[in-house]
Amino acid sequence: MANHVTARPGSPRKWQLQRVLGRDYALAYWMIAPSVLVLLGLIAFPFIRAIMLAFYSQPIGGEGRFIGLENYRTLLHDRIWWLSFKNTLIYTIFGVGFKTAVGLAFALILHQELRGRTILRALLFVPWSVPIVVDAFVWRWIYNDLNGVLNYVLYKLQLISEYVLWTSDPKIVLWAIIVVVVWQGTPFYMMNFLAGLQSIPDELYEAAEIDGASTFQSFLHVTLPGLKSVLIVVTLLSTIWTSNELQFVYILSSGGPAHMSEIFPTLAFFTSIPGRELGLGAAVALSFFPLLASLIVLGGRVLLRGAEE
Amino acid sequence: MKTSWSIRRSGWRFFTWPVLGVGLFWTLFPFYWMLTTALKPNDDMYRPEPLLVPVRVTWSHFHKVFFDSHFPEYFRNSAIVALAVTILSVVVGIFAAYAIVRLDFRGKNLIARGLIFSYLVPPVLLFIPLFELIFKIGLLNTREGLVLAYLTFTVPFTTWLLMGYFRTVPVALEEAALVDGCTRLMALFRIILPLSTPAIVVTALFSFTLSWNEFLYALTFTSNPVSQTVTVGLTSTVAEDVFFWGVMMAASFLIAIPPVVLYLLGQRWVVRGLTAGAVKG
Repeated sequence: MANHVTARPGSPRKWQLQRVLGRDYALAYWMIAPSVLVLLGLIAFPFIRAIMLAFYSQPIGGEGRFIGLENYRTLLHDRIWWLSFKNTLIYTIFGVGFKTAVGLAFALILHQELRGRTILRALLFVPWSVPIVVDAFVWRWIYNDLNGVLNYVLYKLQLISEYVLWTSDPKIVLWAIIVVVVWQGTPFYMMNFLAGLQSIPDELYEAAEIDGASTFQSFLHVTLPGLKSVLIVVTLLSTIWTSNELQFVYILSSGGPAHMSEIFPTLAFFTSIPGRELGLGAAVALSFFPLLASLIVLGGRVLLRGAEE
Repeated sequence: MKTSWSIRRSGWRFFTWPVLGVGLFWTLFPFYWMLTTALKPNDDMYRPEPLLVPVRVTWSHFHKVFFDSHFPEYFRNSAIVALAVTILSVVVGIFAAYAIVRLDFRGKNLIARGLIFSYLVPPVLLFIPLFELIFKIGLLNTREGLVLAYLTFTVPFTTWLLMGYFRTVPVALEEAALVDGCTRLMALFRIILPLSTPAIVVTALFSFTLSWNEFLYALTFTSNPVSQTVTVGLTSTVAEDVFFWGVMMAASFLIAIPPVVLYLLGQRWVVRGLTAGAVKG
C-alpha cells in the first residue's frame, strides 16, 4: 500500500498510536463517529434495554420493578401468547413458502423474450413499492363483508352461496391475511429470482441438452443449483422481515376476532403501547428472539460473504 | 439477450400469456379497485350491487382529502421527516462507508459487522426501548423524534450500500491524487463522490421511500396531526366517518405516488440494494 503517501513526519507518540490503532485512525474515527453514535445509541443500547425491560414490570411513565422471569411465566401461562405463537408460525411459514413458489413461477415465465418485458416487470412490481399500509387498506376494502367486491363477484359467479366474513371469521381470517402478504411480497422474490436466473450461463443448459436432459431434469440440475444462493438469501431475509411485519394484521383484523389472527408483533404492540406494559410487551417482542437471532447471524454471514467475494 | 430456452423448447410457451394475464390481473386489480373507488360517488359504492366500472365520476373524495381533512398536514410531516432522514443518513453513510472501505484503522471490521447485523434487527425488537428513550428526551409527538428513530434503519442501509459502490472506484485514481498532495477528504469529495453520483442518488431514493413508508415507529411515537405521517394518518381517518372508503382510497392513491414513482426510476438497483449486494446480477 502507499504508506508513504499519508505518513507524515510526526511525534513518536503519534507513530505509536498509528501502530496500535491503524495508519489513518485520526481521520477515520472522526468519519465513523456519527454512524457509531447511531449504532450504539439508537440500536445497541435500546436493544440491550429491551432485553432488560423484559425482566421488569414497567408501566409507561411509572416506576420499574425488577420481577425476574415473571413476565415470561405470565406469557407461558397465557392462552393468547400460545395462540400468537401458532399464528406467527403459520403466517411466516405459509407467507414465505407461497411467496417463494409464486415468485419463482413468475420469474421463470418472465425469463424469456417477451414483448414489453420491461413494462411487465415494472407493473408486476407495483404492490411491493406501495406503502404496506396502503396495500393493507385496499384489501380491507376488497374484503369488506357488505360492500366488498370479492364477496359480490364470488356470489355473482355462484362460487359462494352467502357472503363470507373474510376478516372476522375465525377460521378464515389468518388465511385471508396471508393472501395479502403473498400478494404484496411476491414481486420482491420475483425480481431477485429473475436476477438469479439471468446469471446462469446458457452453456450449462446447452450442455444439459446435449446430454439428453429433459426440461424437468435441466430445471432440477441446472436451474435450481444456479439459484441456490439467491434462494437462501431471499428466503432468509424475508423470513426475518415477514415474521416481524405487523401492518397487515394490524390493519386487516387488529389481531381479531378474539385473537384468532394475533401474531407476536401485534401482541407486542398492543401489550406495550395501548396496554401500557412496556416490560411485558418487551417479553412478547423477544418471544421469537432465539430463532430470530440465529436467522440474523446466518443472514449477516451470507451478506458479508457476498460482499467479500 | 438470453432466452429461457427451456420454456421455449418445451411448448410451455403456449401458457406464457394466459399465466401472465392472470398474474397481471391478480397484481393490478386491487389498484384498479382503489382508483375507481376514489372516483365513485358514495351511491354507486354502498349498495347491494356495487358498480365494477365507474359510470359517474366524482372528485369529492379527493376534494375532501385536500381541503377537509388532516392529510395536508400528514403529507407535510412525511415529506419533512423523510427529507431530513435522507440528508442525514446519506451524509453519515458517505463518511462511514469511505472510512471503512479506504482507511486503515482498528475496529473497522467490527463496525462493518455491526452495521450489517443492525440492518437485520427488525423494528419490532426496538420500538419499545426507543419509545422509552424518545419519551424521556421529550420528543414524543415531534418530527424530530421520528427522524431519530428512522436513522436506525437508514444509516446501516445507506452505509452498506455506499460501501459496495465505493469499492468499485479504482484505488489508483485516489492514490494519484494523494501523491499530488490531495488530502483524504479532498480525494473523497473530488474523486470518489463525483464518480458515485448515481449510487448516491439511488441511496437517497431508498432512504426517502423507506422513511415515507414507515409505520410502526410513527404509530408508536406520534398521536396527533402535528407530527403524524401519512401512513398513520390513514389509520386515524377510519374513525372519522362511516362512509370513509372513498376518501380512504383517494388518500391511499396519493400516498402511493411518491414511492411508486421513485421505485420505477430506480428499479434496476432496487433488488440489488435490498439484499445489499448479496445477489449477483
